[in-house]
Amino acid sequence: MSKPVETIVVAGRTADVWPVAALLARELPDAIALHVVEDMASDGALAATVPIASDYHARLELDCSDLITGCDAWPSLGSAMEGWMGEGSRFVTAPSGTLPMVGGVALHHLVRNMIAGQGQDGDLANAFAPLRFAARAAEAGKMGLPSDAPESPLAMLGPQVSVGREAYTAMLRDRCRQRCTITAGKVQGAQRGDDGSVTAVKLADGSLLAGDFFVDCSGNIGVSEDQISELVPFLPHWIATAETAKDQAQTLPTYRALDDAVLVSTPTAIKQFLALACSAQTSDEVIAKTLGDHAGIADSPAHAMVSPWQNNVARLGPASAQLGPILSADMALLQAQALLLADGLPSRTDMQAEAKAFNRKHAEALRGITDFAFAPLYLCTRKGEFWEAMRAAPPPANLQTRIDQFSSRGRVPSFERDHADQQTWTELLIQFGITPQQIDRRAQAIPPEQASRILSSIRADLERALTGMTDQDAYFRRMR
Amino acid sequence: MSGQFNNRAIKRVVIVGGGTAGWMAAAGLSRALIGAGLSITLVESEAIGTVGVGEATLPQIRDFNRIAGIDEREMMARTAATIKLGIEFCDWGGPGERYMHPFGTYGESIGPAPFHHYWLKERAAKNGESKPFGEYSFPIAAAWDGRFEPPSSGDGLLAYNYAFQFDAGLYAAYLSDVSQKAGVQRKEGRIVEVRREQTGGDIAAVVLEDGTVIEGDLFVDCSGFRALLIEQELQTGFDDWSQWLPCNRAWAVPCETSAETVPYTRATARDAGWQWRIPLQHRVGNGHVYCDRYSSDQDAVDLLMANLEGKPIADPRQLFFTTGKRRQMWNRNVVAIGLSGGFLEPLESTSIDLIQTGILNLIELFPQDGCAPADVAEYNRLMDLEYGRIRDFLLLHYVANQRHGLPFWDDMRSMELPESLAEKLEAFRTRGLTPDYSEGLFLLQSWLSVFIGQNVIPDTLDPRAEAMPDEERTAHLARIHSSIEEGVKRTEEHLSFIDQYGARFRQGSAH
Repeated sequence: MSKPVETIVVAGRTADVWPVAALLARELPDAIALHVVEDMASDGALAATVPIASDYHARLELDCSDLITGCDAWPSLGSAMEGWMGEGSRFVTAPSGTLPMVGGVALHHLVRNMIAGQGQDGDLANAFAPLRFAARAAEAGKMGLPSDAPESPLAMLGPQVSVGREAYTAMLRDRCRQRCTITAGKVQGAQRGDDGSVTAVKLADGSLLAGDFFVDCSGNIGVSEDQISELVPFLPHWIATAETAKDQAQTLPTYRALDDAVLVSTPTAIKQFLALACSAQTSDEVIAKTLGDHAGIADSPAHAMVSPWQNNVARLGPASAQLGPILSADMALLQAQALLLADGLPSRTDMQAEAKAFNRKHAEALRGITDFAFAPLYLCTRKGEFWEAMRAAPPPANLQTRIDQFSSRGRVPSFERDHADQQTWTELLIQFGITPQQIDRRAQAIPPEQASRILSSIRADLERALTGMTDQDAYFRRMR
Repeated sequence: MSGQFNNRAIKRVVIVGGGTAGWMAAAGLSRALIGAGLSITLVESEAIGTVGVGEATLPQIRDFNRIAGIDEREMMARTAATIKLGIEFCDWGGPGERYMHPFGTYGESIGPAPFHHYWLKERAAKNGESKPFGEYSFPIAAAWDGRFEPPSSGDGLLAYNYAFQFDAGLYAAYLSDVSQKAGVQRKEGRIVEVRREQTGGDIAAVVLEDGTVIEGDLFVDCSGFRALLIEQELQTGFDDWSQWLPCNRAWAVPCETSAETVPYTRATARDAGWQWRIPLQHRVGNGHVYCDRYSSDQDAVDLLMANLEGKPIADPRQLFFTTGKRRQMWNRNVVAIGLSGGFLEPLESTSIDLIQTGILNLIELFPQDGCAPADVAEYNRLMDLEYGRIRDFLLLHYVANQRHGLPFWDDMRSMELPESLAEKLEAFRTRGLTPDYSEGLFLLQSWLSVFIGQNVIPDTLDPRAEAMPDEERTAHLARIHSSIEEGVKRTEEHLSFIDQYGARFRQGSAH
């Protein structure tokens, strides 16, 4: 018998429950009780880099200043990718809005056409580099928020902050704990009704906590194994994390490809977080050498659930997927899940339609995030057995379509709930050395002198805008 | 894509067929690509008529016009165009009821839940006596009051878009002028032979009755239902969707204008289909779409003629069609655009939009050296997605009807739905969840129009809407309603806008 949802229980480790509970606490009516079962056990020294001006932060009314003062966040405009094109290589990837078009043609097509005319087909990355405004600003240590004026180059910026998950969580918790009933403890199982729906969760101390709808970030409420699909066979197999003193020289979050692992180095205002996404081949010696002897290690094969909301239990965060720390995929998914859940919350205990809608949208969001976060794994040109095997594995279908389309004609197809916009994708694919085989015919229709004049003028605008931007340090101090 | 991939440079485009699709393709391709050394030839025969029914458009036509370099004012004057702010649906929810699908939004954000949940709560609180949902949409209020002005800003309560109602024959003639000025070669003649390449099997040339051979590297099939290249020659195959959209015939007739020239199209449900009314500056386009399993041809034409507002100005013309789409819109070196690619009935004015979507996708994926399989696959993926979503949206109008006791409508209500639509319908009926995809023709507001307009009322609402006290919600809704009312009062009358804009039909200025 269906009845109104009056109590929602959110359970899991501290770092996972609060990003969800904070949003629910902010938007739910008082008539719905919100219980948080919080497992204080640490998952290691976790960090993430998240966009500042996201829908998630907007709905929590969190701006850059809140994030910097509230959790020692470090602001930046992009992330460094090191070693992906061979030892010693480096480029910056930055979230970016769209560059102006010329006659409906994207600028990279014009550049592609020009270098073809100069017989330099393979050098698109170099030729396009001056136009990568957000990436250049990031590399130059600049910081700023996107301008409201659409014609300003600053409108293209996609600022982000790097945070320690513990501090970020504490900030969210502080903002919403008054609205929640908090129980410290660990879920160890569930009590089910005749129809299979969960009526209460069992805590480690033997107590029961009843509810109508359960958000399980712990994975302990139970799930059938056939709901889980493996995403990427190699990376990350398990994760090692460590925390060190702040490296003042590192101003951008950095993703460094190693021989058979990826090292993620995330600078916050006061600390440096390291995470090593390891493959099955990564040795203890490499972990010790890279992170030191005190690394926390979590078994974390990459996987995701096909349908994380079953019956009256929605599994989020690590209970639904492990994507790893590359481009902060795990955190991106958790925030996307929180938004989808808040927008599709059930009113009554018969919630099949809500679950179905959530699962479909979730699958799209998951695809968007994994496509972007895993793209470097497939595009990496490092030599060695591990990376060659990685490249030989078939990418997810949508990612394959993007790579094929860009390789063929420099076009990035878009899909529902994409994680990164087209410009960001375009720049990433160019930086990974893809030069489209075909030249856009519309670009060929623009006379070379006209194209050259336009590109020069845009480059000059970008230079001017870049010169006028604030340095990261100064920006941080101002916000602080 | 079957057959050998021919990587010959694409320099010669041949468009087979004039009419709306052919000349839109010529205008779009010539504007975007002719400077890249491309030659474009369009072959048409005056002896072969065009279907030319599509007279109502969607706001996306404005994007196409802009890309094709078409001056809106000039186009309106040449094609007897009126403004269109939406489509009014009469008697679909139930006899005597009407609603409009507007080219704009409903209300504005007043809390974490979507606007329609607050309206539905208000409606429930007032036992269904609240103001109609449509009154919270500026374009609906303006359309029903016969008013129009170009929208001034992108966002906010008064944001909307607009389209045109025009004479498709005149639009094609106008585009013919534009295209030929841009360098498109027009060849008059009936195609009697299609030649294939010896290796690979691509189309190499079409041969006209007088023996002229027109060779090409890429062929755009705009030959209408005949599908001369894509089906008759390449036998691409057709996905028949008539199990879901069974209407397969129509009668069309223009009549004199006797009522107000309103800025919207009307679709009125009839016993075995529906009737359209499209007011142009100089006449009204009318038609009756029906299913031959539920109505005889004679009954259908009688019903149409009995429901004209003015004197007919031509004999009624009958059209036959099967709803569905070609299995591949792009096959080998042939791209099917318009009716040769597929047909979805004109309930939501999608015919011209599907033409322009096909053209714009082709421009974006236009080949350089041969038709790369990755590009062909992507084109077909994009077109399949668009057709599928439009099919579901059209079908929603039928399955959500409340016209009980009429066999056609009873059967439509009880049919087995495509899973993609069944899920959307269930999600709205259960909890007011709307499709929220971001790309495609009909987005959230369109679906809401039909759901609420046809009385599909959710069993439960977004719990977040409960957080707002009743008085606060009522005050928000009253403020929005009154802002829209005031905005409409300040807006110019539709026909006087056309006069002042300098877009009055200049008879004889067209071909």
